Amino acid sequence: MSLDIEILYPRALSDRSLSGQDASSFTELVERLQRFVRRPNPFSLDDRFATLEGLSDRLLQGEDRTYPGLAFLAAFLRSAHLKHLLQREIPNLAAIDRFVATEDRKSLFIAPRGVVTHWIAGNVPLLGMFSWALSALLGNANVLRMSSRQDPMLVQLIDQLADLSDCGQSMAERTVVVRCDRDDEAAHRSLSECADARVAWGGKEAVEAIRALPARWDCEDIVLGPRVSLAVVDPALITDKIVTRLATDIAYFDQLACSSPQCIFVKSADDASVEKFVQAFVPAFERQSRAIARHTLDFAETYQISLDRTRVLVEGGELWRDQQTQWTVAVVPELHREIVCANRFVQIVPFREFDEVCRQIPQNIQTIITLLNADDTNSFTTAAALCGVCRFPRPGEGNNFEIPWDGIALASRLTRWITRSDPPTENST
Amino acid sequence: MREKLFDVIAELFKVEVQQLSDDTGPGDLPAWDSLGHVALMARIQERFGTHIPVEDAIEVESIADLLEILERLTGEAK
Repeated sequence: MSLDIEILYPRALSDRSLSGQDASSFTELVERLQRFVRRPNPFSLDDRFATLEGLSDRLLQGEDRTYPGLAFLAAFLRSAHLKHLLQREIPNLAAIDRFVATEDRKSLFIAPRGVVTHWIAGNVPLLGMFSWALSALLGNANVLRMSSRQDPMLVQLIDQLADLSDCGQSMAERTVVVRCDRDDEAAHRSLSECADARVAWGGKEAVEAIRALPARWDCEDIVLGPRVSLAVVDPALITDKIVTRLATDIAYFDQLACSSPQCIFVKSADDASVEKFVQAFVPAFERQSRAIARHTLDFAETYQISLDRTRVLVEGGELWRDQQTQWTVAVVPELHREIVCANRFVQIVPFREFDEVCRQIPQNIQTIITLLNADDTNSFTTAAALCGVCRFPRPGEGNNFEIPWDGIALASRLTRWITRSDPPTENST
Repeated sequence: MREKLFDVIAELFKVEVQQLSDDTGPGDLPAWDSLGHVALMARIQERFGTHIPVEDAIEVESIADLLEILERLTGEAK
């Protein structure tokens, strides 16, 4: 079997494409990674926390502020934040470095799972850096697969990591970045068969194709698939600042991230309350759509926006929009599932009872941003959690990558938990 | 605490302390953008020894908000 995989990192191999080579060339590369994870890590968890914080510092000092979402990544990589997130899953972080006693004669060691292959989503490639960072922090070796069209920005981040410190160099050495074509089955099969864990980011077709690839029977699958997000807002609680944060959550990543709200449900005691929200939201959304960098729409995306705008008007909805196709706000009586709701096209749906919202929550829901009073928050989130919602951040927190993500305890899934019964001590009977 | 915070902000965003007031917030200074905001939270942790959680950091609209959060987290008066 021959392979067509372009190696982007390590740099020493980046001028050596595996194009047309036997699959064993890639296997050799993977075996090198496997050797790393089978040896004790020369750097402690604290070293790795410090290194990722160093990478965050580099991002914060960087001149290039145009890449959307870098602030989210920089915030995610701060040591205090990562420790806080890991502690949600792992009560004693020392167990990541060595066996630690958990009971009188029982110890626990949380080892890396091994080689983790990440298939990076084409629409929001930065997201792959979150799963890479977490996996690398936990001591895994990582293979990052980018699509053949993706900007190699991730490679620049790994370069910066390698340049930081000996620990950074070590974490970078445990990382391989490759590029291969979407339809190259042999290449994807090789990436899959080497994995102790597979992290699949992307749309339905992409994640289903990854899951269908052959893998070892004990391979852990983490599927971060095509989820969608909503917001539920009580207009009585809005302020200009809060509405701006909500607009920012929607505008970032051009509404293509799974955490970007596609629809805002607005609690409407009367028509005036929806009107009040729309009057506040539309100018904020217009402002943030101008302020936050976006990709250039292609013909199909532009056509889709025009089609969806027409659909809203034909069916009696109300529309606010710019003269081009940069942003659209549609007020509709209920969530219109035919409308694509991407590229800064948001639906506003009035509701009176939370049951109405729960009935319209799609099966692939991820996030519902909530702006409700304490009682409403409690009653709504308790009901909506059982409809599949994974997280309920407040406005402004929508795109903050956190763990668990998509309802998955990622740190647990990227590690192996090893128990040990300890021998009796002299004082034991 | 107030004076120290003003110094930290002025130094990070390369402005004079006199340009700042309690009402100054993200977006009011050219460098206080989203990355600048994360940088400020990092600098505050370094100088005050206090980590401001993301949930709090997002709600900061002004220096006055930051002072309130710091007061709550450190137990110190402004």
